[in-house]
Amino acid sequence: MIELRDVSKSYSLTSNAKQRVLALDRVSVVIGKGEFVSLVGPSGAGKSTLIRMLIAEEKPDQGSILIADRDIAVLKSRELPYYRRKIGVVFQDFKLLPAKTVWENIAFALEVSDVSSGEIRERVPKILSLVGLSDKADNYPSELSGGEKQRVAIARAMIHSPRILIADEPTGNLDPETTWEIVELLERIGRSGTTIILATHNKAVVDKLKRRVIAVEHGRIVSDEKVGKYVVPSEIAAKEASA
Amino acid sequence: MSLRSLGRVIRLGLTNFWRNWWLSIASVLVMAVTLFIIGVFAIQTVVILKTTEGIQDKLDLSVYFNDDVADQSIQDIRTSVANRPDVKSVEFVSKEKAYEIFQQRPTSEKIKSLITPENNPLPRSLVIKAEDPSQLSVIAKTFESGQFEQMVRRISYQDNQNVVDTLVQTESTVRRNGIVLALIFILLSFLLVYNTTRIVILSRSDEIEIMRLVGATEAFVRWPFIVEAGLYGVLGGLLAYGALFLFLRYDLASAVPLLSIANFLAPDMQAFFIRFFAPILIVITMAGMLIASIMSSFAVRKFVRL
Repeated sequence: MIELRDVSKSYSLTSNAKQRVLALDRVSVVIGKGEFVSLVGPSGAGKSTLIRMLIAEEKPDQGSILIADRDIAVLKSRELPYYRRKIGVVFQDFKLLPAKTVWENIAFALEVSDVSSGEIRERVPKILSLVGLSDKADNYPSELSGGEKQRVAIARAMIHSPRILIADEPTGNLDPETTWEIVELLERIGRSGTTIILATHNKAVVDKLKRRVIAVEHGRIVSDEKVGKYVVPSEIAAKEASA
Repeated sequence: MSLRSLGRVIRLGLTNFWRNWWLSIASVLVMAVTLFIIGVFAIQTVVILKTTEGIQDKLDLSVYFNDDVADQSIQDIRTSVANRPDVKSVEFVSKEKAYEIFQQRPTSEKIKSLITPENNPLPRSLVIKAEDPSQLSVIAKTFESGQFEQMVRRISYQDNQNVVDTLVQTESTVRRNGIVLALIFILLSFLLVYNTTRIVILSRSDEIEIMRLVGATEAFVRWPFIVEAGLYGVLGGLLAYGALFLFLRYDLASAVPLLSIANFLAPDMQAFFIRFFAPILIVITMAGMLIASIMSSFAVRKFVRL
């Protein structure tokens, strides 16, 4: 489903192009169809870069990113929209449009993709009931709780029935109970065959999921366990050991 | 883009327009002023060109012959002149015809009564029209020398040339001033429309990001901004049209000296405007739409990236 081959990416720190920081250093990994993978690692480890590559926001300097056997690193800019309709993404800050209702926020994703109004009227209620927000269709995001907002975002990400759902710190702004609601929803979506990539700092979530855990540090994969636990970043581990 | 998406893009553009109405109004106004100035000078230029054309058509060269020249000689000259490639037409004016023309002149009866068909000192003449009126002097030259010196009493053409020269002069002044003023305002409107589009894009960067994430094509993201600018142009065009109407109807040309280089043309401009009121309306709004959309597309290209 997803295969990274020797992917490297560096950014220039300053305007001086020679001073570069390596965000990803020859990363190779394979994620199968329907897998639920947690991506852990400290801030600046390369998690975000990895996710930005998967949603084709950025291109690798080297290596290839194969999604369903297609290298997305070589996608032309006019092909990107069609690729993005095949993957769902949710973020910590939800990225909902405040001036649109829940229904309109979800329908918007279909409107920009040239889906007919009839089909929109058919698909939006289905996805709303999947995330359990059928009664909030006419509410504005400001009238929702954090968990509800994230469920709207997940509904919007799933509206194209993508085969991959990428969640970048989806519970970062949520309290513990709501966090479990969202994780449960992601698991449910995963059970229907969607590949889920969950980038998170939340140790409790990762430990309880008992799923594959990939840990990234300094732009490299430092561990990859089939049934993993949260990996404590090496600096913190070293500090704890010396204490 | 499908018809369905086109409809959605237009709707997004219209929503944008109302959301930033204060910016939109500023853009509409500057487009209106620009189109108004272009309109005034375009109409002025067209009217002057038409007037010049009409006058040039009336320009001719009259060669008056001494009374002792035989009619047959004049007819021979007429034939040979008519064969010249630069001559459009030659007309013979007999003494009788000259008398008729003289009687129709707005001269006092006292002077008119001095000339009678019996006592007619008016000379016979050839009235020559040139293919290119500015070449009349060249044709005239041939009658000033050689065999003609003894036959020709007078050659007249210069008086009219002054009128043409004045008009041609006015036209080039109008055109020059028009182009300079129009360029200044096109530049001004470009800066304003460009900047408005930029601000609108920046204020909607969240929405653009979301559109991108959910798979909107580049065209779908970009075109609403261009539609919005097109609306500035259309509304600006309508305003400019109304202003043009008032300007010509109430002869406000004299109130704005910079615009009224050819003050004496005001009635002709008014007539032209009334005669072509529908085409002018269409041209001015379409031009506004095109100019503003092109201006905004520069900002869109620069600030909306996928």
